[in-house]
Amino acid sequence: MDRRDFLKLLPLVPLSLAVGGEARTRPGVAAGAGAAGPNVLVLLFDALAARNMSLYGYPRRTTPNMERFARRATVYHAHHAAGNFTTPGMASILTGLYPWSHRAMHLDGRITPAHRAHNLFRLFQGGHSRIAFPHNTLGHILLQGLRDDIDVYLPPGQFGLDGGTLPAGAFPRDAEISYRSFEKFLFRDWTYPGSLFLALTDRLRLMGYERIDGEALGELYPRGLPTLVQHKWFFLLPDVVDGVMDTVGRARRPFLAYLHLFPPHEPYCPPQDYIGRYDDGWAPPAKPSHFFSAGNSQEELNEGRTQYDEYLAFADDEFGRLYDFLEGSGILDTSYVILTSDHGQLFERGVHGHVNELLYEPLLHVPLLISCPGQRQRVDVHTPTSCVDLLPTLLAAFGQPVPDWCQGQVLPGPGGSTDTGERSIFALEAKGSAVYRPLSPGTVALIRGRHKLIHYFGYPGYEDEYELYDLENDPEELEDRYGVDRDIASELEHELEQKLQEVNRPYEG
Amino acid sequence: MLKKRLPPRRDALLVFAVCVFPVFGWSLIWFFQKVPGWLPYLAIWDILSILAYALAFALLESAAVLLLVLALAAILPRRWLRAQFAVQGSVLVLGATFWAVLFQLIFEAVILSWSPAEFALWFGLALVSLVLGCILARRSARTGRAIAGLAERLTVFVYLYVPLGLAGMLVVAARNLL
Repeated sequence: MDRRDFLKLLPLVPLSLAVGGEARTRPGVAAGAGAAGPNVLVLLFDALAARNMSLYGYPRRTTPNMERFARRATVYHAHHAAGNFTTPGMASILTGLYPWSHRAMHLDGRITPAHRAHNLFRLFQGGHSRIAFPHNTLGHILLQGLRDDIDVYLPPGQFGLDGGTLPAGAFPRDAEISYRSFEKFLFRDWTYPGSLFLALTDRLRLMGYERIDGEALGELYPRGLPTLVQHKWFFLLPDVVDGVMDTVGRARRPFLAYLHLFPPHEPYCPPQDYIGRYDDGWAPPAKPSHFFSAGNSQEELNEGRTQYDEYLAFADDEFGRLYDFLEGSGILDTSYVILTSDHGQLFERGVHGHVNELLYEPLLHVPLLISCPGQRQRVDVHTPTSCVDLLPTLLAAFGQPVPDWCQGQVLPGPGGSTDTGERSIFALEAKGSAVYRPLSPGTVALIRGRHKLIHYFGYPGYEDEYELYDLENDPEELEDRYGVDRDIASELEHELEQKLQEVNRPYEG
Repeated sequence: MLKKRLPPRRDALLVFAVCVFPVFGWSLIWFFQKVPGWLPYLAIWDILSILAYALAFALLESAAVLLLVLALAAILPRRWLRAQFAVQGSVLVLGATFWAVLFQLIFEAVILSWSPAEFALWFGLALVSLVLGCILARRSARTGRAIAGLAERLTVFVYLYVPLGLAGMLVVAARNLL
């Protein structure tokens, strides 16, 4: 951030001090009970890649509504997720910890008991009404461990066409294990459900549901009904957004709401109006296939990207409706509104999607926009930031100290920090590692300033590999400079090695 | 009145044995298939708790299948099902098991793309096969004895799985009530 940016932030300082002053009357609580403090609304769109947003310079006009929001927000141009899929990304947002600490590194993973109390909801207890809506089932299972810290919990099927098999709240005192038992094992699974007869009838029920609703809505949704990817949990995004607006509109003030919407995560099922919108023949430069390529051809990647952009445009229009609601209802003026994502999406190097071994910028570079109460001016921040920074930033905005266990820093902007951008931020992919053992196999990325070092370790056939990129001169990560810029490569490699030793130490022996 | 329309308790136990064997067996096979994938991030006690839910559910599912067959026996004319309940009830459950396993295994690859006509055809075929199996079992003494013998041998699983299912229920109750 330069001096001009800092001067633009000065008008916000009295506001944050005013808020912080009120909060200081009750240490450890973001706002006193019953106090009319600002609300906090964290709005997350799953798999929203900054690289595909026109807000961040993408050639296709995919996010005009988010650009409207940006006019009165602080826009972070180099914000990074901590992992390449929902579980680690979301856990890092909520805990301010990197995945090697919170250990939610697996599909269906959970935050380790040692850090479960270190979460955003717990830190806002006592003053704010805490609301959570995880539209992603991975988020749903992650939040089961934090249910005691959430006042209003809305399960993934809350605003959908069909809910889960298990009625929400059927086993309230054993929510996580009962969910894993019924929804992840007995009834719905990647392979075969654990129930022979009743799961079959449930599969047939859902199939019938999809056929009937699919026929009724087939013209509107020619690619099929939108659904969550692990379960056949159908939804219409306009209904979900209506539900979100209703929830926020009726929430007890002040509130902390974490609203995690599934789109633009695949399957890409926008309404008919969006299909064909980007049949413009445009495609980014092709990149060489990676060792971890899934074999997707460039044509398949381009087609996937186009469909993703269509779905993103639809999600952006629905965000526009939500934004208009927040503005018209006055909630925007009395809230910290955060727009972000848990991870991005990859359409290159032979790989389409996320949940892979890679940590390139399309996967890690995610949007972050923060609108402070009463903010009317756009501010742009270009220094690298991490999703672990959101928790300390919100605490600082309410005048609360940042806990020692937190690994993030207060972001330039709402918290008043003037970070120079020289610190290191990290991302980790380690879903093949065990929770209580040293990390292996895995991929870790270290970003410091303009440089990014990626380290692959422990993979059969790819045991110990490095890549180095200059993100300022080579934002597309086309030129691996690991063998060329040896000074910076050695420095970053040493730092990374030290960090891995540090994080693995508790799990050795 | 209802008691008169139900088969003898011993026959119901034999059919129950035929129910528990595939229901518990299927659940346990896929449970142990999934355990290696859970071990990296779930504690042993969590995995055992999932097993408890699975065993408790399997017991209820077995009972539900038995209740369905008993309901059929109560509704249908006596000589159709109730007269040789142990044999014909076992045939129904074994036949239903065959089709359920087949449909589960081919669901994603085949069934999802079925047209309504194909549904009608295959489910009709399944239903007809169950009826024919019952007729065969009733008319062929040899087949009837083989089915009855199989059901007798499967009763050992009742003494294994039912206590496991009850233990599962106790664990589920403890996790939710204590």
